[in-house]
Amino acid sequence: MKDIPEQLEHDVAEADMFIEDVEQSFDWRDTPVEGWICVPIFWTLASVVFWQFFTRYALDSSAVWTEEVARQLLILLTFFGAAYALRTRAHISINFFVMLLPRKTKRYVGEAAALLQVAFYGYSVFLTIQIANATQHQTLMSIDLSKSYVYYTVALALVVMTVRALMNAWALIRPSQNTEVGQ
Amino acid sequence: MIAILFISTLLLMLMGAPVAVALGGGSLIFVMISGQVPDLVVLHRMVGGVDSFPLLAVPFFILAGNLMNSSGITNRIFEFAKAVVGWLPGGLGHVNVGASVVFAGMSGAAVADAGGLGSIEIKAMKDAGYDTEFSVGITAASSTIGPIIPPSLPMVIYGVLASASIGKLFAAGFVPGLLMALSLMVMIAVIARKRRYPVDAAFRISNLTVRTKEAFLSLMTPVIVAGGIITGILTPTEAAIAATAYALFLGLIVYQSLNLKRLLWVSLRSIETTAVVLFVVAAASIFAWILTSNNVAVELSNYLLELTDSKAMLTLIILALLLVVGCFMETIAAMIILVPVLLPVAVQFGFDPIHFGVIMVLTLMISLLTPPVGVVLYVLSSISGLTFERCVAATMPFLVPLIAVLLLVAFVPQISLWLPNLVFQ
Repeated sequence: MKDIPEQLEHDVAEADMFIEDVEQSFDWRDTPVEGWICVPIFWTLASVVFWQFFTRYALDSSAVWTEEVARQLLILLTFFGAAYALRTRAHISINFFVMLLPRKTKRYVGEAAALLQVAFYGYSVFLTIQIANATQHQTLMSIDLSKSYVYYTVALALVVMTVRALMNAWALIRPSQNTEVGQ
Repeated sequence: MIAILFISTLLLMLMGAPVAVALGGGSLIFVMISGQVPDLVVLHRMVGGVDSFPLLAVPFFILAGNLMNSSGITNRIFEFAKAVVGWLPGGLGHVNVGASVVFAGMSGAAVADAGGLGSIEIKAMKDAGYDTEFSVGITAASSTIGPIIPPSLPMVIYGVLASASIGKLFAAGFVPGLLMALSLMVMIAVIARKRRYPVDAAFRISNLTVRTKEAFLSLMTPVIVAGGIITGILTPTEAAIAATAYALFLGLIVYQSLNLKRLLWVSLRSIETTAVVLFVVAAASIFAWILTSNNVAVELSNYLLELTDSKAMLTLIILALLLVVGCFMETIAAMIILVPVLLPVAVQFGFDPIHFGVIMVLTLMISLLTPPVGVVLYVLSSISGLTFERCVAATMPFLVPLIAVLLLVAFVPQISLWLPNLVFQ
């Protein structure tokens, strides 16, 4: 894969092989921890939504709690899923303009972008915890659960993302130091 | 003041930060500098942005599509399309378009179409002696039909942003999608006659029966999904979960092609795609919120009103803007930023929000075929072995019929609105 952006590389590599081939090379033991957190959330969400669908059509009265619970699970899936996608480098980014830069500038810009990501996720953790603290007395409408638990869990997902972003940034910056030592 | 928002977001994006981080980060910088609201509003809006019931359709359309792909359904559909339209001059070209139409009825993304069907189509056309340029051009052009014919991820997102009925939007995309297919087939017929392309196989009713039988259970998916939504029996979220349940039934019980390992693999892929889309939605909702609360749409609308007072002129301006933005930006991100700005203007000029949604998605899909960020072209370049530049050149001629349909859809609202008005009273 020559001169194409990283995220496209991810898409192209997937589309390039027949689906069976990708499946063949898939080993469940390689699934990162972010993935293991998401899978149960995902299937719980599927069950809840299916239950709502089923009660509406088969029993003619949809269960009230399902909609609200499904929305909270979707929030968790979004943020833990985003952490998983950060690990698999699947997030969409526009690398076209960075590719046009001269080699050295390209590296500095890449490092700066990586550090800014760390800052964004990190500050988001702090803000989300503030929201969680402020919503301790708000409960969900259909079940007796404080809204703050949802925010605390989102904050946890953001912590995971901060750590991953730090590792990504470190991986970018470290080799540059090595080459300087080597010179 | 609002310039801070645009500059910081754009800068982050151009630096290659993920689009979601650019939108969220740019918003955060604006909020911190302007002091209009406390910082924590940024995260509050981000979480609130995905706290939405209609958005639940997103993970399950993605999951259903992946489950279907995983059970070898794409081959069945291709064989079925071959039996239906393979006898026309330029046979496999028509098959290519036909298969995309059927596939469109279950998947919501153009890239999935290009990647899954595309590899089968291009190989089949190469083997039959078509030149690769022609195959790539058709595959690229026909992949844009996917997100126009329901179900469609971009339409779900538009519906959420515009608070428009997603059922109506899905119904509205149906006729324009068929028109796109028709226009491409006319173009293929013309080229095929000129270049004397072969007919694939004579039309035989026995063959059609066999292929229909093989593909029947798979073909029921678009019937359930598109049919259920267009007739208003199912909401999009329900259709998505019904399609998932049906796909699981086919994979686990009928074809017995799913096992735990495959299921895990499909789940992880679906989670990844879902999260990428919804994380952008979350970040963009704070961005859009700032735009709205600072009356950016009103100012833009005043500016455009000064520029022109004809609806036709405005339509052309908007189409050009969307095409240019779509060339550089991913579809969903582009939509999230532009809907809150453009929709109020369009409504003021007398556009129906449903009609406007179809125009917007159609334009952004066409821009997926243009450099520099044409994702579909990168995928096809990699599948076919043609260089990116040659893929661009091969696709160009097929933009003509697509843009013709776009203009038709933009200027004749009835094409989009006829079906939803018929179904939803």
